[in-house]
Amino acid sequence: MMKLNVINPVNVRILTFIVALIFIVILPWWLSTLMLLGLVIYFPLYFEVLFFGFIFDMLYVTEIIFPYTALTATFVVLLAVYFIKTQIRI
Amino acid sequence: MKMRYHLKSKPDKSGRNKIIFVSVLFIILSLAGFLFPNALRTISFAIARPLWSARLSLTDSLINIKDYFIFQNILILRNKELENELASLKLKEIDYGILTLQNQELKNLLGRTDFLANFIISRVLSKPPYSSYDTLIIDIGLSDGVSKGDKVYLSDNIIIGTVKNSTPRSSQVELFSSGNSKVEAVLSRTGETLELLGQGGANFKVEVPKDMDIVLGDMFVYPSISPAALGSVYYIYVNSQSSFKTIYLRIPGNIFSSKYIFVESQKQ
Repeated sequence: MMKLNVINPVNVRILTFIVALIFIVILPWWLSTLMLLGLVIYFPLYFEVLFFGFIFDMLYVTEIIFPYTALTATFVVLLAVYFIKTQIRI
Repeated sequence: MKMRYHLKSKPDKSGRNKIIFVSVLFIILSLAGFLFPNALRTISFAIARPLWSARLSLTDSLINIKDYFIFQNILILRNKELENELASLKLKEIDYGILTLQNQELKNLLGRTDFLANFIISRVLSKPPYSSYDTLIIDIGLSDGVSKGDKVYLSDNIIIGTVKNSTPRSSQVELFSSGNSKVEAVLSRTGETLELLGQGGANFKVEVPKDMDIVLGDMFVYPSISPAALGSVYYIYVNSQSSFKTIYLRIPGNIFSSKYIFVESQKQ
């Protein structure tokens, strides 16, 4: 009989994406930022954070001009955390 | 012969590939935002709107719950205070009605009828600290007659910002006080025009010569045929070594606790 593996990494990331999306919209921006930072540190290369930065810009920035503040910030933080993680392997 | 040393491992390309993937994703999102800003904004608002509404109804009900646990004597005391306040406000309302009527009659005599504003009430879906950048999201949009550039008021006579973007059912309002934005204002007591610099959080500042006549509590108004209050002076910083003084202003009323605001629609 085939077993359905619900707790595989892909499902976890999809669930996390949905929950994080809800929290980003309903939480104060600084709490959302802390939550996203936690996710970026916890998951290996949490690229979904770019989508959250993008949505944040679309919702709250009045004039969309490059560089988009939240999107660029998430990109920089994602790369910075990735580099630090590769340097300090625990 | 046996090798007594480890083979040099192949260079790990997966790390580089990951960085390339993230960079490409960043570029794609940036381009998408540049090419289809309105469509993507509409989609984002469509996703967020039900969540904002759910949060508002949830917080409203949670706030009401704590009212069930208040002592009766506190409620009686508060009720009396509110009754007194209501009585004094009713008197003020009569005065205000008379003055408004007089003001309209004077403007009619002068032939200015364009002051009759078309106000639309709207619910605030998101406001600081939930949203950043000093923006408000409101629940009316293009389908309700709201368009870019419409003025936004906290009450009949307090102006707070303008509509910056509209989707069919929501709009984005930028406060005049948002960081580094500039707005012209008239000091109502002396009639001098100054440019206020937004400081975020409903605050402004302006630098003026030290000898300029500005005192605490002075009101700045938005220049128009029906002037609306923009900010009142709450602090003046004077440095003995400078020939300027810095004036700090705040929008009268609390934007961040108000549930409803008014949009002056340009469409008739």
